[in-house]
Amino acid sequence: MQPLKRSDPEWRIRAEPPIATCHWPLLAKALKQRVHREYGERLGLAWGCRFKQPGVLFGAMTWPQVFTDVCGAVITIETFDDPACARSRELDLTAAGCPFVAEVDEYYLPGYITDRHAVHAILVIERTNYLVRFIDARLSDTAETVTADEFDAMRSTPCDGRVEPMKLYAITRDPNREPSSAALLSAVRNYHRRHHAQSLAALHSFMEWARDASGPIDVCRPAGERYQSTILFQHLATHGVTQAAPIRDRLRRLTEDWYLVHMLGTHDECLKGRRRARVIRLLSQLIESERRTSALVLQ
Amino acid sequence: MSAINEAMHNTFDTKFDRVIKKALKLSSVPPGDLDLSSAGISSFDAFNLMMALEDEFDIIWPAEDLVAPLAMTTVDVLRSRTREILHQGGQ
Repeated sequence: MQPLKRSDPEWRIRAEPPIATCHWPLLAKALKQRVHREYGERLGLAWGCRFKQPGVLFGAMTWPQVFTDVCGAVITIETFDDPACARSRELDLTAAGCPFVAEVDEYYLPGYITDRHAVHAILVIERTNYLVRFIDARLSDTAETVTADEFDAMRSTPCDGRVEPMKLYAITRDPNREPSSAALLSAVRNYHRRHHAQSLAALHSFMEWARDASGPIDVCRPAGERYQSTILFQHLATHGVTQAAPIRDRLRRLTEDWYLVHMLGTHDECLKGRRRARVIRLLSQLIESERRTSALVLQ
Repeated sequence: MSAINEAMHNTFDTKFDRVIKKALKLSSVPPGDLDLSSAGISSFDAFNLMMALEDEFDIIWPAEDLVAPLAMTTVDVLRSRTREILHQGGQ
């Protein structure tokens, strides 16, 4: 068998989506099952930065609000310090017929032969006191079942990449309208006009933290937001929005730069000395890249 | 090539070969035209290789080289770029 070349289409298809993005295709899958429309390319409606705790830079996490504005759907992002509260909420969601995407420790998932405890997202179709039915898109589209005890373990075990406790994304109201491409672009612009300065300030504060600290510099979440927004602008570019292509190209480069900073900032060998200084320098360049990207969006 | 330059050249190549053999877990020095991605080397392996080259030659890769480590398609291209960075004063 011939090895794949990087230019082969199959290579691109086989490539796994980057880290911090696996919840979006699952939400799109759930939306499609409910309203029979494709939303996967239209979820990345907002990107930004939020500095909530040392070591980790979050994305804006405001794309669900913009999605509500344009589609009428409600997607909530929830975390729980108390496992009992998480369980209660999950049971309520199933009782209300709402699917949700849950962050779990992949070590406990059926079909995985791994020693690695790492966070992964699954789509929960049904959660009761006894069992949980879910789809793990990495393995197949067929629903798997685990016991409630197994699910509780995978939800609560500390694992690589789990920063927020028992996080879930719930679809609590279905889309009720179909936005035009122009409406999507307008919504993105309105968001940026209102929140861009705040996001840059958060990024700047994070960079200051990273300069003075010595631990890992985790920025995969903002990277993932830009990845998803690149998909949105690719969608707009292929649906007649002439301004979208240059924004898509800039977002694509921005995404690569964010993932590079994440790779360097979380690599054990890169956390001090001139290698850390390189990461800080890249973060500083990202501030300018973010500014230029938003200027392009708002043109 | 002067004797001194030749000696420096050989030292560089010897070190480079040692690093690449170790980083890619090979039993012998790979051919110069070996395509890194076709050889099944992941981006992460390539990135670790570049970090090992930084350590060996006391250089620091410019960010643009690290964005897509496999863009340095062959062993020869990587060797040549490493030498270039080294001669630029390690960036």
